[in-house]
Order: sequence, then structure tokens, then C-alpha cells
Amino acid sequence: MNTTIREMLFLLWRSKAAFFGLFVILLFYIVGIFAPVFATHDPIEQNIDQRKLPPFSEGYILGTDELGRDLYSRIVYGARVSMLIGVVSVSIALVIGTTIGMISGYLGGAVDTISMRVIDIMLSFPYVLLTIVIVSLLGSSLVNAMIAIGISHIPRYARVCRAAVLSEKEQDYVMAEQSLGAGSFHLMFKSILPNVLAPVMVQATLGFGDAILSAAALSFLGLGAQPPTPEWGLMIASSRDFVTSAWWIVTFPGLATLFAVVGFNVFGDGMRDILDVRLHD
Amino acid sequence: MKVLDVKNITIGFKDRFGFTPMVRDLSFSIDKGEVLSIVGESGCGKSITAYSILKLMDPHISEIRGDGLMFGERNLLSATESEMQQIRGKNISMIFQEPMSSLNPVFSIGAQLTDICTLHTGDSKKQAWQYGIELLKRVHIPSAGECMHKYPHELSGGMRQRVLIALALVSPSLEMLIADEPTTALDVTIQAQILNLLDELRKETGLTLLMITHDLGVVATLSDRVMVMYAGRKVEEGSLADILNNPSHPYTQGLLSSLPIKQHERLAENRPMFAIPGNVPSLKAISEACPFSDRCDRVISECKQAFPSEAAISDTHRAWCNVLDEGIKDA
Amino acid sequence: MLSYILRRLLQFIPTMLGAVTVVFFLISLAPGDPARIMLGERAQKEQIEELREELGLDKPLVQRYGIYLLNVVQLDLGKSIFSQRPVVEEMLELFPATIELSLVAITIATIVGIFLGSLAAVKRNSPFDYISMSGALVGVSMPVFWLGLICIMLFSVILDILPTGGRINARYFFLPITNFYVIDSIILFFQEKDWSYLTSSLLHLVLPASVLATVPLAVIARTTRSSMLEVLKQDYVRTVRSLGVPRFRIIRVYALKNAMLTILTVISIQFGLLLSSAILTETIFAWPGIGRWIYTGIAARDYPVVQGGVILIVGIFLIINLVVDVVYALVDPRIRITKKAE
Repeated sequence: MNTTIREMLFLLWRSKAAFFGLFVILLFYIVGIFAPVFATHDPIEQNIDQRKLPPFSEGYILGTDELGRDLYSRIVYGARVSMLIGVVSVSIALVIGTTIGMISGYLGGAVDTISMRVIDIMLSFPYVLLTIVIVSLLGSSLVNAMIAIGISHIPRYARVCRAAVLSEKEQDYVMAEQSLGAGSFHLMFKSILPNVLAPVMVQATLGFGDAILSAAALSFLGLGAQPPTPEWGLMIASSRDFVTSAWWIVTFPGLATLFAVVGFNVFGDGMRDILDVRLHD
Repeated sequence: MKVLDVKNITIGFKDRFGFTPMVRDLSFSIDKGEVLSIVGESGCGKSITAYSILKLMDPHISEIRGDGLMFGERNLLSATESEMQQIRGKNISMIFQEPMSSLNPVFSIGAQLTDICTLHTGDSKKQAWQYGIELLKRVHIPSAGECMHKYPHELSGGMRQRVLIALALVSPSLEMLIADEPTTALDVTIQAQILNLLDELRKETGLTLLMITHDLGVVATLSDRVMVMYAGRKVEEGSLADILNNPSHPYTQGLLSSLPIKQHERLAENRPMFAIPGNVPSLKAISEACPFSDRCDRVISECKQAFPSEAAISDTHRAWCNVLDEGIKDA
Repeated sequence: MLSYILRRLLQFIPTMLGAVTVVFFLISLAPGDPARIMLGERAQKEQIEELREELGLDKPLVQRYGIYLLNVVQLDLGKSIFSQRPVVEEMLELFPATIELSLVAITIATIVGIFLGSLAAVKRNSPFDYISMSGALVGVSMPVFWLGLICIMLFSVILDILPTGGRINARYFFLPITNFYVIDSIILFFQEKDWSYLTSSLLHLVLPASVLATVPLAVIARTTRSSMLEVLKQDYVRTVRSLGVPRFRIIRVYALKNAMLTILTVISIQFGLLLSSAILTETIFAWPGIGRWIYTGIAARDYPVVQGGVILIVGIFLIINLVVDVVYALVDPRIRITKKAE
């Protein structure tokens, strides 16, 4: 991977889809970080007189929910929650997964066998189920949901990283450095890490989208964010009873989720093509 | 009688920035039963030429321009994809450089052979199977019947290349075989076997053979006529004897001087090994000049201005060079 | 070949054992005392102690684990805390509903996904390719439960053409025979010459199965396209092209079989994911299957039910992986060799 940052930016610009993805991601981060600026109302303030107002009602551009809260402001603050979920759970998975993959790929032998066995067992759970099982151990809360999602994402980083380390280990330059007496620690982090970075970054970008979706699912099941947190999955869950009466309460939080996840997926796919990474999964 | 007559074609890749020629103004022809070799370093455009005859390159990214690509009476330049499908494998076949990856790993040899047989002969499956065994015998595969049940990964590289030759020979109305570096990926001892096989087949059947190679050893074994290419241009053309005994273009001379036997002579005389200075230019960077002018030790100012015109050395022998009279150096 | 299958079977056992262990410890370590949950907050301390003893909860964890493992081997997964019925019994009752739903879903996903994916690969960069791949991208980026609600809103509320949930119209008195309602209603058709059971059960399947199929369909279409394009780049495709095999035949006969190897793996992974996202889909569509059962189990902290349900899904998932590996070896002769060398 000799692509410099400038070349990458150029390729990104040429791949319109990836650029669009990056744009969406940035948009959601800006909205999330500066939520108070974008919001027009307090996201958790209830207003019994203004319940279930349809979109474009006065002062409420997307209408209000069953408790008279401004839907638009809740979605804006929801961006903050979802972005936080993405950052926390991807960081957990990335740090632990990469470390496991790196150590087991580099050391090989018993360490490798044991850690890959554990990873196999984790992978024997369909990923959504693993998240649910972990949350039910930790207890239902947003933080625990993030931790559970992080843990269940570990295998993909461990595998990608291990595969990359194994193939890098065989490369001539690593052998050359080894024969020149470079220490193992130095080797692992100086020589191999930059080469492992590309597949891990791609995986992380795609992981963001997955994390947002899983968190929404957990909240929907009552295992994640708790009311009155403005979390998109939770908003969809509480809208269940209004499919017959208030379509906007159902529709908008889902659209926001969809839009954000599409952004991450498009960008991740684009990065994968640009960096020419193959994910062995 | 000319089987193939290539008239002044230019082959290149196109993208949103335009058209980049890889092979320029190329003309050549092959008579029936003749073996023509195209020689050159990798990247000189010889494989692209071979692919273009069967129009195997993706038409979205490549283009063939020129006056004609005559196969008998037909001009392949204007043939549609479905017309080409009628010609490929039936009238013209091709074998490739990579026998290891050119057979489908999930089908048995028999399945692949019978499928192509039924396609080109209209035989029933059962007849095709028998015909397949016959073909394997013709390319000297031991215990051909057993081989039909095997999968590609169970065969050695040499055996796979034989199977690929058998596949290419399926059609009874085959007129020409294109062999793109057929021995490059094989061990030296196996190379000779495959070359013997090709030689034997053409003697038996009068097959016309277009051989693409970088290996002058292969050229010497099999060719009637030789065409030397450099950086997308034809630089010299002649009979086998012309090229081997009287190489005229400085590049051809260099190529011959690089042969191991010549190098050995030089070393025996305490002279350093011969090497053409410099590298093959990138095809994208080629201007109108003689592409060899940067590496040529006889270069004159005209060489830098335009590609040299044709110079006839004898009836059969031509070269495209401004400084042929300088004589032969070191060859 | 036989030895390959055997070896693969032997790998299955420790993985399954590991999964059972993980499930047991994760759920047993979860906060909340089952005895207290059963008896309610106002129960006396002695009563709770008594029940703990009865349930074997007073024993050390390791001992409980041993007992649990022994029971699992004998297909005894304990009793539901709430219904007091054996978990296995409830499971067998609900399982056909889930299998019916997920088989229909994975079949839709596989057929449509492979078809769309290969067509997109063949017509690469055409409008069809862009549209179907954008659709697939939206499909993988969508919260499934939200799609379910939107579908209910559209088809049940606004258009009023499909039922909102359940397996069959509640008006019908229905005595399950196989518990696969589609099969049952076909049997009923022969007995009573009445179509309405079958129509009703099929109509009830449409929405949940389509929603459940969305993500796997999108993933399968994307994978099919990319692995097909990968295969079409291979030297062996060039070989058959140079031999005059028509393009359509190359794709249908040669390329698909090679691409199928990747696609199969993806299908098996997607089937596992589908079984677990059934927890969401079944909840939304009031589909009385394993998924909804696990969901109510989680909500009520009915830990034997959750353990049982999770073990069932993991078991099915592992068995499917096993089957796919065997099929893989049947399709690709190289596997038999390379795996042997490991």
C-alpha cells in the first residue's frame, strides 16, 4: 500500500459514492456535536397540549411525538447518541480485536490456537444474538449496549488483523528486517502495523454502520437506551402503537438511521475499493 | 494463401482521458501452414496483439483501430461479439501463458473437454467423451481415460498445458492456433516437450501457428518467420534464418547478444556480459520517435523525429531503422 | 471425502460445547436472582431459600454447570420459570413457526439475491446494476424492525391488503397437526375442501417473510455480484471465452459454480443472522415462534428459556455451517485435498 494521503483524497473525489458517504458522515457528526445549535426544542421536554402534531405544524417542522416532544429536535439529539455509540463500540472492538489478532498472528503456536478457538466460539453465535446475550448479562442500558456491541465486533478485527499479519510475516522485507536483528516488538508495531491499517480501517468504517443498527435493535428490544433518551431505535420502538395514527413518528427516526448507516456503508465500500482491501469474512 | 492479414492496426486502451495506443501501425500476415513468431520483451504489445485477433479484450476499455483484420474473407474488425463467438475455438483457438490457472478448478477435465466438444462438433455427450479421450491421446497424455475424471489441481503444469492444447484442438475446422507464451510458466525440460508437441501437431495437420514469445530459444525451434516488436512497434521482420544469422535492427542484435550462448562466448574471451542499456519505455510515454532511440548506441537526430520508414534488406527481410548500414556490432 | 466429513463433525462438538458453556455462564452470571423473580418482591427470605434449593441454585456455579451440561446432553434444558413447563416442550411447539418463516425468507433471499446479483454483474455499470445495487445498499443499511413497521403501516393500515400479524386469521378454529401452518392448511384443504385456511396462512406469511428476507437478500445480491465479477476476471473464464463459449453460458454454467462457493458461505452466515433477527421480526408481527419466545424470556428474565432458545439457534447455525462445508467440499475438489493437509 503505497497510496499517499493526497492520492487517496484524489481517488475519493473521483469515487463519487464514497465522497457522498464521507459527506453524510461529516454531516451527522456536525449535527451530533452541535446538536443544541441545530435543535429547536428541548428533546425531552414534554408538552401535553401539543401531542402528535403532524409535520409542518407551527414550530414543529417534523411534528411532535406521543408526548408532545419535538420530533426534529429528538432526531438531532439522536444523531449525537448514535455517533457516540459508533465511536465507543468501534473503539472497544478495534483496540481489543486488533491486539488479539496481532499477538496471535505474530506469536502463533498455542497462543494462536487458543485465541482463535475463542474467536470461533464467538463466531458460532450469530452476531445479533451474541450482542443480546451479552447485554442480558450486563443489564439493559445504553452504555452496556455499546460494550456488548463492541465485544461482539471483536472477532472481525481479530481475524482481519491476524490474516494481514500472517501474510505480512511472509513478506521479504519483514524477513529482511528480522535477519538484520530487529526486535519482535519493534517489528510488530513498526513494520506490520501500517500494513494492517488498511483492512482494519475499512472494517471499522463498515463497523460504524453495523454498530448504529445493532444499538437501535437493542433499544427497540428494550435492552439498550432507556426512555426518555432520544435514541433512534428507542423512538421507533415507542412509535409502534402509532402505526395507525401518526405515520411521522414511525417514519422519521428510521429514515435518519437509514441515512446515517448508508453513509458509513457507502464510504466503507469506497475505501475498500480505493485501498483494494479484501475482507476475509 | 493468407490465413490472417493484419492491415495497419493500432490497439490501445481508452478511458475518460482519451485513447492510449499500446500497439501502433502494425501490419503482418500469416500464410496457411506457416509458423510466425512474434518476439519481444514483456510489455512490447505482443500479447495485446494476440488477444486482439480474437477480440478478447474488454471493449469498454480497449479499442482496435485500423484498415483491417482479415481472417480469410472476413474482416474481424467489424465482427460483432456473437460473430466472434462463432470463430473462437472453431476457426481460431488460443493457448495461454498460465496453464496453472487457465483450467476451471471445479470441473473435471472430462467435463470441460466434452462441453467444448459438444459446442463445436454437435456430438452427443457420449460421443464427445470418446472424442475427448482421443484428443488427450493426441496430445500424449498417458492413460487418457483416467485423466478425463481428474480435476486440474491433480495435474502438473505440463499436463495442464497439454489439456489446454487439446481443448484448443477440439474443432475439426480449426485453421489457426495462437500460442501466447505457451512454455514460459513451465520447467525447461517440459518446455521442450510442449514445443515438440506443437511442432508435431502442425506437421500432422498443417495447422497455422502464431507464436508469441520472449524466448529466442522457442523461436529457433519452431518458427518459419519471425517478427520482432519493441514498445508497440514492429522493428524487424524476416525468415528465421534472416533474423538469426543477419539481425539488422540494433534491438534485434541486442536481443541476440543477450542469449546465454553468446554471453558465454564473451566471458570466455574475458569481456563483460552484454546488456542493452536502459529500460523499455512506458508505453504511455511513447512519442512519434523511434521507441528504441533512447537506448540505441547508433542513434542519430532523425531517430528522434519520426519513426523510421521501412528498409528492405532482402525479399524476405525488412527492418525499420535509419542506421542499418552501420553494420553488425558484437553479434 | 468421508474422513473429511467426520473430521468436520468432530470440530463441531467442541465448538458447540464452547457455545453452551458461554451461554450458561453469561446467563447465570446475569444480575437478578431467579428465585426472587419467580416469587415476587414481597416474598419471605425463607421461601426464597427454599426455592433456590429446589432449583439447585444454592450449589456452587461449577457444580451447576456440570449438572446443566449433563442435562443438555440428555436434551433437558430445564423448566420455564413462568410457565413451569419444560423448555424443550415449549421449544418444539414454537419451533415449526420459526422454521416455516425463516425457510420461506431464506428461499426468497437466495433466489432473488443470486438472480439480481448475477444480472448486475453481467450488466456491470448499466442502469440496472446501479439501481439494484443501490437498492441492496439501502437493504443492508436499514433497521429491520423499522421496515416491518413501515410495511405494516403501508400494506395493513393504509392499503389494508395484508394482515398485521399472527400466523392465521383468528376466526379459524385451528388444531395444529404438524404446526407448520402452511402444511396443516394444505392437509385441511384435502379434508374439508376449503381454501380459506391456506390463503390465510400464506397471506400471513407475506409481510414477515419479506421483511425478514430483506437483509439477507441484499447481502446475497452484493456478494453474488462481487464474486461473479471476481470469477469473470479469472484465467479459466478467458480460456472458455477464447474457445467460443457464449457469454450467457459462461455465466450460467462456468462462473456461477465457482462463485457459488463464496455465495454459499454467505448464505449460511445470513441464515444464522436471519434466525436471530427473527427475534425482532417475530416480535413485530406477533409471530408465535422461537424469536418472540426468546424476547419475552429476556423481558421476563426467564433464564432457562433464554438459554434454551440461544442454544437452539446456535446449534442450528453450526449445523448449517457444517452442511455448507460439506457441500463446499463436494463442489470444490481442491478443498478435500487442502483441508486434509491441515
